[in-house]
Amino acid sequence: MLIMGVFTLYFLIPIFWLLVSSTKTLGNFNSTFSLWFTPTSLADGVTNITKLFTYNDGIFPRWMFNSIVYAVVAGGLGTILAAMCGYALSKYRFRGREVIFNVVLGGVLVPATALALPLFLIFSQVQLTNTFWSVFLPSIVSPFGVYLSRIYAASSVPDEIIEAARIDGSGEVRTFFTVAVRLMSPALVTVFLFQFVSIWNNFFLPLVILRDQTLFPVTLGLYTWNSQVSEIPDIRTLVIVGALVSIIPLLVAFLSLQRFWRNGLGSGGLK
Amino acid sequence: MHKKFMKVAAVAVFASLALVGCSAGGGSTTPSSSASCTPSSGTVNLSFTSWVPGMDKVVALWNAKNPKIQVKVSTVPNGNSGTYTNFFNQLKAGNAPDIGQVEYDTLPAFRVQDGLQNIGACAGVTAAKSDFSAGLWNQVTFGEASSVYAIPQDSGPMALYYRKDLFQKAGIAVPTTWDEYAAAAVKIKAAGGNITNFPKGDVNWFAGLVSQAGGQWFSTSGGAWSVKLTSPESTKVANYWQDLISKKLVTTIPGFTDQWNNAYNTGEDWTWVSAVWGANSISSGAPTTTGNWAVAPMPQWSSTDTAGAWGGSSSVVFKGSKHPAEASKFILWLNTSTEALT
Repeated sequence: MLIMGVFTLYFLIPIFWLLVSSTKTLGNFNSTFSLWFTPTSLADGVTNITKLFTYNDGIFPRWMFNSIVYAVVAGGLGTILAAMCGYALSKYRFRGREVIFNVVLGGVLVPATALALPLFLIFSQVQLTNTFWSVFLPSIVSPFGVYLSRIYAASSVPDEIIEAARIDGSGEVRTFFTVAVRLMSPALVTVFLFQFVSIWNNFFLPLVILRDQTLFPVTLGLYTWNSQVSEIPDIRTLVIVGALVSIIPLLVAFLSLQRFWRNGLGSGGLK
Repeated sequence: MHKKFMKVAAVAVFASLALVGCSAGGGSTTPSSSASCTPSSGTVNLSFTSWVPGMDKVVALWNAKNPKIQVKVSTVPNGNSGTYTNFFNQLKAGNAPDIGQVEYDTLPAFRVQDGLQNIGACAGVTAAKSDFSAGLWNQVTFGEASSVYAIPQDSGPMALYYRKDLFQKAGIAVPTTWDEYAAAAVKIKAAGGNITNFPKGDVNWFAGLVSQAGGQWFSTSGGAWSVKLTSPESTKVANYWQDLISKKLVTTIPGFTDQWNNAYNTGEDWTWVSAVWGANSISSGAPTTTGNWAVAPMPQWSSTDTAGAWGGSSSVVFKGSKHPAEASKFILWLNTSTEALT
């Protein structure tokens, strides 16, 4: 219990610092105690947020929008693909099944960072660098999602149910979407959350591939700002407030999807 | 698919052949020819990658006045935060922007990789020499006659920033030579402060100090690079600072960190040998000391007045640009005309 408490503090203090710091002017940020508010915190915080959303013709909301599109759309698509793939690998017998699965599993071991440069060179060949697709397409691939979906499909979608669906005249695709997806939904929520978080935090790939500021996800945008701090000191507060705002969608995603995170949905289905 | 690839490859080969013809003068293989920088006809679109805040406004000004040469600017993280690596990758992939921003200390790296377009033959470039100081111009030509690889944008001559209130209170004279500086360091230590901070990781800063002492690390002579990291000048500067560090007269905090800001903000460190843009860092990093700073010339090694340089960047035209003439016209305007600079 004590250890848990210590770790909770360890993880929460940086976020608390972020919250406190984002309510300070630059002067107060440098001079006042960094873990508590100042008397003018409320007003300064509001000013900071207004500045954040209007600075440079409102580029920050644009970055947020980009990140949300990348994370939600690519995450959603990636989840469906992973589910289909995992389901197929688990429920259909075909030649080379284990080979495919092992290759996919190998993909889990390759860090995304290592792939950024090869991806850049490949996208250069087809002239897709510095486009929406160059960040979107790699984001829909999730070897871990395939792995998790297969394991989960094997344990939570009984062959008998699929068999019953077939006897009732349901096509394979229909069976997948109406029966299997529902039984697999706790795993799919997990896959989606993982995808969402990893795309949201994806930084290196956009850094290498994107040049156009209007395509940046919020991570890269904030990084760009942070690298300008020595030229425009005022921007430091924007980076801090921006960092705070940028974690809000993650919180929302986690809190709202948590309740779908139930296990054993189909466990009683055969009794 | 295969056919398409061949087509792409053919285009690439053709483009690189065209480039070879274009880069005459810079390469050691072909003699320079004046025809290597001909303007294109029709409207030209240029891409420009920079991290200078507000660059989009300057470019908008240019675009309004030059409908035939339209520039699209991209604002990216600063060079050492990844953009240089990206430039190298893009040069390799053949899709680098036409124009980019490169700091002086990184220019040689791009030159060595043959990533810079020699714009010496482009209209107005060599004539712009008189707009810049000789030392600065030497950095963008690498000492090669009739070659120009970049147009200087800003420079970072170094000076001594010091806390005039603290110096006055302690009754210490502002040092004008490095010997006086070392003597002042002892007095300041006695007064409870440190004369300055020595950021051990900041090689560019140290290079500025060495260049003030007359040392030059990298140069070209006879078409070959010569590297002199252990010249007498370098070792003199290194020994000087090592002495201060050993006697614990200076702090050794990594530069531009919060801890570093704090050392200046609380008056723990009293001076900073820095470039002109350093004033900005002080006002942001040490806001409580605003108004207490003054600037003096850099302490000297001998009676001749010299200053080092730290930072500063230039605009370059990358290899692979199809429009070096228009690109160099734009960067000349960007870095020399009064309307762009204000």
